Amino acid sequence: MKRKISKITSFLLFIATVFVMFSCDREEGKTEESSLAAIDETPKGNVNLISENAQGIYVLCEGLYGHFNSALDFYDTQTKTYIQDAFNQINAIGLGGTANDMIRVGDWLFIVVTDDAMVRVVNSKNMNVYKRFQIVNSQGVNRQPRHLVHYNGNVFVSCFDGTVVKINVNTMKIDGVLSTQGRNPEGIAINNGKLFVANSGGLGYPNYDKTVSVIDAATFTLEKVIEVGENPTQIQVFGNYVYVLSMRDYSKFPLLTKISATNYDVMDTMSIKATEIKVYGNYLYYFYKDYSQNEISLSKMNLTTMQQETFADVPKKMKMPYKISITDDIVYITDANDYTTSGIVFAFDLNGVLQYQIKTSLNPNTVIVR
Amino acid sequence: MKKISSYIIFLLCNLFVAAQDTVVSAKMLDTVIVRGESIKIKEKAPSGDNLDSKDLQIINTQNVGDAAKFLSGVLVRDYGGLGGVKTVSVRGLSSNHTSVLYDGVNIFDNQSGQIDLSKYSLASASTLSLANAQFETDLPTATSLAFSSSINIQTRRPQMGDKKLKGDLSLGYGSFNVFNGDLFLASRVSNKDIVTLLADITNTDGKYPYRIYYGANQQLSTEKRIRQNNDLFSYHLESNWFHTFSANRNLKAKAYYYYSNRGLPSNVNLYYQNSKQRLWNKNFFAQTVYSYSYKDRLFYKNNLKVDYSYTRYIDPYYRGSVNGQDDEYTQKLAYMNNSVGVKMTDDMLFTVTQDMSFSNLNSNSLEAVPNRFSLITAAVINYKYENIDFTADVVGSQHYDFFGDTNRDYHHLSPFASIRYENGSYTGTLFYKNIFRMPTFNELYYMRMGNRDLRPEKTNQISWANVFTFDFKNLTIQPEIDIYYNIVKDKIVAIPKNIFLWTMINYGRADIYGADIKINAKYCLTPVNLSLKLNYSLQTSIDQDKTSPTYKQHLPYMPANIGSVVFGADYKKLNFGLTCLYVGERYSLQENIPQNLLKSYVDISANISYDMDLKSKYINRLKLMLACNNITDKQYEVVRAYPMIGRNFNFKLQIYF
Repeated sequence: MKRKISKITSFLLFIATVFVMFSCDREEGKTEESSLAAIDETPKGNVNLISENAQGIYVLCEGLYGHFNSALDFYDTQTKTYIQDAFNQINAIGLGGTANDMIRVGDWLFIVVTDDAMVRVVNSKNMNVYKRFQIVNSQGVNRQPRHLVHYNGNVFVSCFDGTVVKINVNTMKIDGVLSTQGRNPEGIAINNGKLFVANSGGLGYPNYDKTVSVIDAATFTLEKVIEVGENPTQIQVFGNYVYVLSMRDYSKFPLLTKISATNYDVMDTMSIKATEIKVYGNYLYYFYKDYSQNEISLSKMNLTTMQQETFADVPKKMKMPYKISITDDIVYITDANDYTTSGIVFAFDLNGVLQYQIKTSLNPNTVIVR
Repeated sequence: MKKISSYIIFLLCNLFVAAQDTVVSAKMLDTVIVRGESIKIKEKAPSGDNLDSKDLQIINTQNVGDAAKFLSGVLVRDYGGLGGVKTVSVRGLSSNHTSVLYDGVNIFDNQSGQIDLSKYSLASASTLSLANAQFETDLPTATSLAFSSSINIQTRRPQMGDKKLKGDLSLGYGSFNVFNGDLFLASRVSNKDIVTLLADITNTDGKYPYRIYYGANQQLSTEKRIRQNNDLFSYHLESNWFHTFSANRNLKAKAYYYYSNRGLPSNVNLYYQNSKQRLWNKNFFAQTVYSYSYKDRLFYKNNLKVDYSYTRYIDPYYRGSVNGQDDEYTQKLAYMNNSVGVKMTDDMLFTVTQDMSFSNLNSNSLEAVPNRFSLITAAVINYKYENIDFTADVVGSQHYDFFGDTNRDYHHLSPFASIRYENGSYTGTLFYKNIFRMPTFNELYYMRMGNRDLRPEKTNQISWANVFTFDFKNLTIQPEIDIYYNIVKDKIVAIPKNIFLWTMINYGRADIYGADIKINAKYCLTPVNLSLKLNYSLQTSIDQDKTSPTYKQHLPYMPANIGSVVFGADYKKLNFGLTCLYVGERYSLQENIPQNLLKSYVDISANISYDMDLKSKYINRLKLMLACNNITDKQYEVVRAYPMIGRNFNFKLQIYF
């Protein structure tokens, strides 16, 4: 009886393997035409909510997993009015679940929404919806898109299913999908015409990935897989180098790895008290939040001298610094509070002087100046 | 499985042999059984509620979870559909604080600590009762005394009369391809033995329509969709053996098996829907209850139980590994209760009850096997003085956990006291109870999330219940007003270390106070019978932790208002039933902001049934029932992003023989 079962099992396993091989093949090859094109969207709400001459910031808030309450807020820095989830008021639709990243490409904002398998294209002036892409594989399963980078008329999307998806901005079509040969790609950056993608393996606890994939952006082919510290999540660009932050298992200090963008050599690896990094000018701005000690520090490092210093005093209200965005000489540090209640954006100048702080929707992660 | 099927065949053979046995002294036996039942759950409690078989017939749901919504002060957390998990929250306390008993013996789940009531078929139940604090049985299990409240599912018992074989079969079919069937058989095997068989089966593809609203402005972007991956197949087989040794000594034995295989539809995304998550449950348990009384002075009861439960959860699309997620859990438990009651005088009863249990959990998602040995001992004293009834107990809980190389123990003494005043038309009961609840295996040991330093969660309850009874010629009205105040300290909650890494901590304090108002009315003037059950609960639950960002705000999923109506009208052979359930506004997250608000809803259902006496040799009577649930087709959610079923119909044919 037992033998018979094992025979049946092996037969089933064989069939399953063949099926998997076949389906992988399909995935790499052609995908249905209809899923590659963007879906048109029309704004149905108060389309002129943001006035033509308004100045301010867009705050992308990812919401809480399972609640589908991602929001795109607008803060008018002149009138000091804050509109929570302006996106919903303008378009009369919800942004989706876990809006994880946002970049500006020309007149458009590209927003990646992980749990809704979507990249959304929104007018950067009035937040009116324009198009959305479904980021699914040939079986219609969510690739779980995570981060975005723009290069030469294309937007590249890192996806948790181990791929990078290429979107042509001119034709507004998905142009290709490439495997990174790693697990759960997160951070993605471009330097010297090459895409650097951090394969975090972040969902594979306790067995994380520890590689960075290098992809040639023009030919969209994988060039190399570089080994770095465990659980790499973020990649930043400075000169001819990329800096990779590896979170390891969250109990040890993270590692910062410096990689040459020309010959892909690992130049240096150092332990750093950083949970989030961002390069601006000659500096790496970063903060650290110790999960067990409740300790917070806001720092910066001169990338030419490697000198580390305090960037700013920790504001009283800061509880759970979450992400950094830097534009127009302002450093925005978002605060997730306790991940289940309203967040805060702290805006500092480059000298670390707090300009203002403002309450946002749930879990703010990205700030873009209008 | 093979074993179980042969057991059933064996049982069926027994039944037919018994049916041919002609030497039965029916009358005598019935008396013996009635006497033997003297130690059973009286469904009496310091305060509580009760749904009898008539109420359950009016409520007419598939499972106990849906019926429990009509118990006073109970809120059911419901993920929608027949396969949706349903757990109870009594008076604002989490479901881990409620012990669920099946025919008076505790159901255990040390893994999650929460009993999913959707697994228990209503067709097998004869009454469903709730006790705040605890049931006032003569010989309670110590475990049930160690919880803040208890719910007992009493299964159907045979009313044999002078028959040797009795039973009924019912078949139902409803909207969205819901099929269910259940069978009840009872046989007098000998003049001291009755054997029953309960079986039910449910199958549905669960594809019900719902409306999705994309934006805050609900009129502008909406679409009708069909719930996907919401199928359920389940069955339950149960056999009971009632043996009477003598008038003061009897034994009840039960073997129970449940199987289910269901799709988990996941929460409703706006733009993407493709869940292939599945859940399998297998649960087998066997229990015996032996009771003995000596000259109505000394009482003894022994409960034994072995329990095996298996759960498998898969998510092929989980991106953590190549093949997705595939978790298996096997929980085993052995349990024994011994209780002794001594009537010191005619007015004073002293009881000692002790529970011993050993359980463990095997899983591919745990680093080691958690084992728990629990010893719960309680001493209860009950004293009557004229109209006043005084009860006090102290429960000593000892739990020893062994996990890998570590071991940990927990000790607690929980006092309880109640005083009741009773005169024919008024009963007033005041109680105080202090309880701690053990952290579950998941909370302590689950990979990444578990925190081995968790302390038990503590609750203090004070409650005052007032029951008035007005008897008129054909009418009985029983209004009841209960007020209560619960304090929860060291709440066990999940908090994120970062968005990927959540952990369990003891946190803060919550205060819950409220009132449960009930009116039960019965009008009886043949051929008309009317019954009405009104429940209304008013509740405030507040975050009292000063360091919390939501200090003084209402706790999530705690509506301020819940109301229900259960109305039945019988005219000769025609029965009409109507139920309404109202749940007020509540928040889906801690913060009391409009974005987190879930709307109130009313769910109205009705059914009509007709009884036909056939008086044929084999078939006694037939019953036909037609029901319409959620008549107004109200679209609502109990849990955010889990839409509930809209208007649906079902038809049922019941054959009694």
